[in-house]
Amino acid sequence: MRNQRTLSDHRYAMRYIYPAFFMLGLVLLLPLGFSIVASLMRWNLVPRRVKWLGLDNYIKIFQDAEVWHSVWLTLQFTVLSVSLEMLFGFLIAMFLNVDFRGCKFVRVVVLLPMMLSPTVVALVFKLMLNYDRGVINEVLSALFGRAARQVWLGKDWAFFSVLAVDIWINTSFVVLNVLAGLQSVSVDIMEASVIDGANAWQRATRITIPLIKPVLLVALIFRTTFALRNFPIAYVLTGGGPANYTQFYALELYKEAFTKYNVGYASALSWLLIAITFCLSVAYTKLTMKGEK
Amino acid sequence: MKRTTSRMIALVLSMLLVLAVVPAASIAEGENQKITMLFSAGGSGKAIAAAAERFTAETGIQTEVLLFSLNEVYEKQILSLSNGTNDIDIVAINDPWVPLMKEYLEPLELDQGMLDAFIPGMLNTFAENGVVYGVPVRMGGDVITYRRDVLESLGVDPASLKTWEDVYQLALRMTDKENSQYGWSMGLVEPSNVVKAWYEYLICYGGYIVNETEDGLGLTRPEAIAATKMFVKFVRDCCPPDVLNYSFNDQVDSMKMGQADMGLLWTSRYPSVNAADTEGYGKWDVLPIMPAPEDGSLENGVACVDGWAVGISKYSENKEAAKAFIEYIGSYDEQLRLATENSNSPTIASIYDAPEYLAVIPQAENMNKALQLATPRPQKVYFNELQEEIALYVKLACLGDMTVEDALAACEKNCMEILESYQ
Repeated sequence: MRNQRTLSDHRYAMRYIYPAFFMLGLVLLLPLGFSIVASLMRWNLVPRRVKWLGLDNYIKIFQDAEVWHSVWLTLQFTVLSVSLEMLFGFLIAMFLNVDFRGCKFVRVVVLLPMMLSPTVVALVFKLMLNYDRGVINEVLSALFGRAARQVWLGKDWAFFSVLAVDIWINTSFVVLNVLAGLQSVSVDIMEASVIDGANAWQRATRITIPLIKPVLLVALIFRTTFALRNFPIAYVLTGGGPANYTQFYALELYKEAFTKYNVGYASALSWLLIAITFCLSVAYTKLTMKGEK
Repeated sequence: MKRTTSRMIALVLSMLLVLAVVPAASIAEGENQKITMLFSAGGSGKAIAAAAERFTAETGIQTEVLLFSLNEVYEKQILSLSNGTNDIDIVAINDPWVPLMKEYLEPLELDQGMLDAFIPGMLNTFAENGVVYGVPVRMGGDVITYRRDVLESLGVDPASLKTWEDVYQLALRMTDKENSQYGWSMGLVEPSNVVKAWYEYLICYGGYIVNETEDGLGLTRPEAIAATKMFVKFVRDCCPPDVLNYSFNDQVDSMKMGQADMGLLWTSRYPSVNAADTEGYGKWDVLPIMPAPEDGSLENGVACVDGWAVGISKYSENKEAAKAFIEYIGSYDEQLRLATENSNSPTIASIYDAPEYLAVIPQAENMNKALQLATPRPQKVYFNELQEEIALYVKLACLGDMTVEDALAACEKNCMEILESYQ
């Protein structure tokens, strides 16, 4: 009788969930399925050409030097940006977790970059990084002389400029996550560890990090997937240039989809990105779970 | 239970009602005569928006001008047109886009007198086999614009600048990189920008991208190599170090702020450089010729004419209103107003002689002379793809990562593959 009642409750509840499932299917699963089909075709929007190719688009990806150049750049970018953002984010969060006068104000200021539009930030940085009229070179000139000026968006520095702007914007996301985790760590545990004679390094590595590991994992997965899809900052700041020096994977995908209107090949590229992102997320989760077991 | 079912039915009915009302609202909007267009932000967009405002004031037809970067205008229009949607009435057509867009455009049936008034080369850019797809509204050409006072101080007579080597030597003399002073400026950030500038050099040297039969390329021919070498010399020796990242706005800024004393400037941007609140106001002049190659193989260089036209989307539900707008913006009066008030390069021949225009742009005469032999960029359906390749390899040559010869050879190989894929 009780089981029947539970089943009936479930059915009743499901009626409210079906519309959401339907919408999800409509806006997520249908396009995803559509893009799988598109990735198996030669599909150009202009001039309109549609032809079944099977797996040719996927095979072409492995032969496309430009794609692999962009994959390599993106992986370098992801490793550097995520590790530095995690490091800076953790350190800043540790600092902000301490109560001091004006700490609330500092917390708001630190979190500000995350609230700004990446496009606007990139436009502002583009002005700041201008060789002749940018404030960064002006400051460097004033401090160290004209020889210190750099072509920030030239071939030697463009990658690092994009990286720096990305770190500037996204570190606050890690700070927010880690800070929330830190505030959930019981004060009693920390006090007990102090009484037991643990120093600051031991407290951080043996108590704080293990306790906030789930939060760190969330930040890590989010930042990795965002970094792999890095688009607006590079698009606005360098447009992938000079030449292909900052042609990240998302820019390459955009070029195929919206410059060449090669929808089929672009869909195949997007599935490669999904596969890479999925594999990394699974790997992160497994590594963390392994530690917990 | 029954009550829940009734609620569900009510919910579904409400959703259906909403879905029914949305198209009805769109139809109601159509009845109010509203036309929508996308245009490139910046000077072009401002000029079109100003014309649209005047058009609305005079006719009562609402116009919505949505401004985006050039790439986005292209991307959004192609997506909309290729999907057969009616959200765009007026299509903005940049000259190389004609072959890609013409199947989505309504052939224009305009008064012959109106068509005859346009500069033929400009109108023909947007026509094929006698069918006009767009009316040129903002076209110009890249001309050599320089500071008259700087040339005077260097003792250089502009008339002595006959070849690209002459111009290069002058630009070199003007350049003092230690003090952020440059002899040349261009906008090169987007692939279309760099190819447009490079193409100017190429045609002056007598080169071409695709041959007439469209089965061969001219990228490794001696003319293309010489032109590219000259282009690279200008970029490396006379331009700001980050010029490869310069948008057209950056180019205008560098010139009007006095950092660059000369440059390859689109005629419609001349008033932005010669701005009243700058030190160089009234001192900017235009070379009345395009330089020739230094080997004497050609007597004159050739300018590249390019710009915008407006056409009507085949899927527009407001074709009459759209046609009225095109007739309005293509009229003598509006073109004159755009030329004098919105720094537009006229597309109607007689405006170049109009005293009102010459009073505002005294250099119009020189511009007109420089553009006399002007020719448009290749209008091929695959041009956009070629452009991406050319931009990449020209930039690699400019950065010193490849020699000009190697860059052009690699570029030709890739471009040939593109060309073959269209045959």
